[in-house]
Amino acid sequence: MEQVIINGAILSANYALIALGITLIFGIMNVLNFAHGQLFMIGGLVVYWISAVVGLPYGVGVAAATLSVGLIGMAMERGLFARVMAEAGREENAMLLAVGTAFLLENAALYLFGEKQRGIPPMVQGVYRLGAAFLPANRLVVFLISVALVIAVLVFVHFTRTGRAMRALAQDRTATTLMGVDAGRISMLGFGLGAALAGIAGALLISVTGVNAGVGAAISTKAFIMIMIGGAGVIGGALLGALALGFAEAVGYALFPGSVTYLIIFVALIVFLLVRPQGIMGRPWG
Amino acid sequence: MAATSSRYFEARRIGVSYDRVTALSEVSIAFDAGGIVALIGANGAGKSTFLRATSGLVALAGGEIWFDGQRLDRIPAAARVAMGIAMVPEGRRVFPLMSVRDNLLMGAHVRRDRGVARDLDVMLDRFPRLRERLRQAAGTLSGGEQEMLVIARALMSRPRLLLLDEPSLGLAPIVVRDIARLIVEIRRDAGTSIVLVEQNSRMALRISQYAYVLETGRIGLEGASQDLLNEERVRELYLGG
Repeated sequence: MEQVIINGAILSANYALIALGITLIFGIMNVLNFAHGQLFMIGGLVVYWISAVVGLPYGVGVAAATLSVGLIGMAMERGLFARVMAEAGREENAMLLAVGTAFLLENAALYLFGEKQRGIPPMVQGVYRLGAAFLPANRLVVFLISVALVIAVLVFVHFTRTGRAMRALAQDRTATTLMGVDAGRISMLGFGLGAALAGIAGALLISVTGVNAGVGAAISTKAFIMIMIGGAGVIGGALLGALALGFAEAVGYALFPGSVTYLIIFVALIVFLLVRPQGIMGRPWG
Repeated sequence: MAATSSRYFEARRIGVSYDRVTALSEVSIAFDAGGIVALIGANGAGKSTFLRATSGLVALAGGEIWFDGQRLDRIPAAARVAMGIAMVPEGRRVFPLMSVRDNLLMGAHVRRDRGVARDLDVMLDRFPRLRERLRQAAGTLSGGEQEMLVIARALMSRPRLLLLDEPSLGLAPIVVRDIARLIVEIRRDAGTSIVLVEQNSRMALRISQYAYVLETGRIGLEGASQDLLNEERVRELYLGG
């Protein structure tokens, strides 16, 4: 029981980074970022390359992963999404672009890093015992960093000038422009921040589970599950979704063999969406 | 055309098209600082389009706009706010999920000075209803309160030119009176120049000094508001006989 709670909390904290990132991008751009899992994957592989291949400290790898994935996100917004959305009359165009970007990033990663599962040694050694449960020190560090980052993002979005402009942009683009906000710049920053959060999540999780070039689709799927549970575009909903998925997974792995857990999660999700299609905190669509 | 303008605000023969449909053509409007100018006319006459062109939400198809000696029409919309132009859009457009306080702070987005906190306080003294609802989501306010909020939000940028698009739309007559009084006070207290677009022509002509009547994208008539109030054609078409 204690083990399930510990595992659930650790998973939830990491998933919260992923869900927050995709929610920021969805809120500001109104695009479901199908490439989100690929950004996570690139974050992990950059850490692998910096610390296992180049031999620099893990912290340098995490910083490099965050920065490079953040820059990839900004380039995606500036070079692809902003252009397509300025021309396209339909939302589907941006969605297809996101799917295409996912394939592009995945194949670029395959070319650069190969298809092997990559991992790095834990950044800290040792195991704590909490009652009947084991808590590897490395996972505790990952948990604490994730929670600190989630809090930092919440503070940024709610209490800074730029964060306030991001929230405003998500609600009314025209009115935000009339406040003197450079909507293009804020979109680019928001996309970059959302991407960087995916990158850092991958950078942290590679020391726990490892990462390979094909993991993106599975991570994107998890991100979609979380925002479907919580409600698309709502920050509180993203966090709730992360908690729900993290604990569902932890409970599932404790009770059932391997793949049955996600079968149950998907069935439960379908039933949930039949009852509440807008998610826990979302507004009804349309 | 002259490379500058001697008027505080001058739109010279401006035109705007939406998807090749002409919304404004050859419209010239000019005024000096510190007055209220009204734009009246039927639905679709181009009143809102004129404001959107001035704030930069739509690009000109022709003509020039000058403000305080600077060419305005090539400057991006967001940068015009920093030059002192604030627009209250039609339909209020509060940020519905943000608190009243955050809405007001959004209005001060372009300001980097230390006076923002004091101005916020002044604004809340002026609008006690907003102070009572400071932490409430703006989407939960009544229509009249939302109109107060968007006007207060625009004032937070300390504009020199305030563009108001149909502030009385959908409001009860008693609230319309409050809004009219507020517009007069803003001009009196801060010397702000105001362009008022209104369907409520009587109210607009009563509180403005000068007015333009737009008819299908062109200026049909202009003159001192007092004169237009007594003009036969204006009375018949816009003031209900």
